[in-house]
Amino acid sequence: MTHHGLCHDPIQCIVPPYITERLTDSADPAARSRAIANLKAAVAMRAMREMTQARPSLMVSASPRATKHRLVYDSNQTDRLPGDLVRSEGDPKVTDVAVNEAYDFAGDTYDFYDQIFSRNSLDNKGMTLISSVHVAETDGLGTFVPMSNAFWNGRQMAYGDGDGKIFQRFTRSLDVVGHELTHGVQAFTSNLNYFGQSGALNEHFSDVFGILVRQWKKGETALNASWVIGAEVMVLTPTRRGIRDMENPGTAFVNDPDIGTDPQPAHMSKLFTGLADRGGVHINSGIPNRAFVLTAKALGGNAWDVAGRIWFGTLLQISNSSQFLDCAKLTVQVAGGYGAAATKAVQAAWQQIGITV
Amino acid sequence: MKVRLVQSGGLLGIVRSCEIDSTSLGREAALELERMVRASGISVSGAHLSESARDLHTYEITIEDGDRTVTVVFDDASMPAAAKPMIGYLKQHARPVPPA
Repeated sequence: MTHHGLCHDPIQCIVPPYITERLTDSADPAARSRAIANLKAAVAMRAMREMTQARPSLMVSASPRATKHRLVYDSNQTDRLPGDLVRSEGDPKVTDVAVNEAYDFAGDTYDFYDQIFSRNSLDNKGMTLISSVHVAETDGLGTFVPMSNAFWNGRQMAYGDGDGKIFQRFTRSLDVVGHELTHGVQAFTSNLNYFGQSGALNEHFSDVFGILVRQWKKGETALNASWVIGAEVMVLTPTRRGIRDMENPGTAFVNDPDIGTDPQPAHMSKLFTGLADRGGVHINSGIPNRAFVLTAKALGGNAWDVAGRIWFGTLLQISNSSQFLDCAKLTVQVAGGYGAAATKAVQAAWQQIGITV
Repeated sequence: MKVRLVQSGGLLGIVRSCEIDSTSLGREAALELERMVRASGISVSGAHLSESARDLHTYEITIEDGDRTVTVVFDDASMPAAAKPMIGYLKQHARPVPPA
């Protein structure tokens, strides 16, 4: 389905109501014109959106034995997905390190969900984990350059090699791979709407389970672990330490000449309310991220043992339009199953970031 | 002609922005900008965002040409192929700004 002949993706392309509602009130003529166009397109898109949200199984790649099954493709420095198949489940290592990283880290993430949460892949039915490496984007001359990003496209993971100045290969980081795969888990569970606070919760859950995969793999306790996401994918300098700092949001990069200052707030009093980044999905996630770290450190031990299970239980129950307060209430409710100390720790963590439950 | 880009999102989640005024460019550069804008095929305002993808960049592009203003919003998956060179050009000029 297309709008004005501009949208490629047959599954996607929506008019976000969160943005439309804001723009129709705008005094800016350009913003109003965009909102009107949105409204015209909204009706046509609703049916497709509801179908894909209700039936994510439409996008599943079933695996042969309904268990761990990885396929890694090479996009060969184009934006073509998935590209050429270069390694399948059980195949030996290849000479391309990005292929092996995507394969190994997808396997670690599968094992984590399997062993800690008894979950069989993203859909709990053994869905094939598809990764594409060496994905590229277009520069100003219309030629392909290595992509400085990693994303989940609704069916698979895609990893760029970075520009070599700010970013390195995105497959270098287990927590980034875990983050992207957790977006896949969410597609089959909460499916949190990707706008505003619900979208920030979507990013939050991906950060939580992404970093827990790494801590679990390395055997790091909550008190000794680093809570920085994506340190391995950045070219580190004195002004940047990683993509996000879950423990100290807003400090992962400061006054960096290329990427500026980390925009994440650490408290509800600093909640971002603008339209950028789909209403701040990667910005406001800092607030619940900090609540999770405070919980995990208060409980001690391995973060995946109790805090991780509370958050996973929440992920399975939370509705797709939930706001931060809804999430906080649900974590407290789920924590009740882990004793009074857990409940108290969760309540205190949310209190510290400005949410009283 | 003025062309403005606000890029946000991506795994990093920062905002980058630039505004290029063709009247401030040399003749050749101004013609090239106008050529890229025409080639982009962007003529109607609208938002075209992927529903099931995560961590894509979002690109808000505003084109002011005389008394006509068009604003479109794309992401990496919904961006039309014809607009990629223009967006790539704008990305090269964009600098980090506080989110708004």
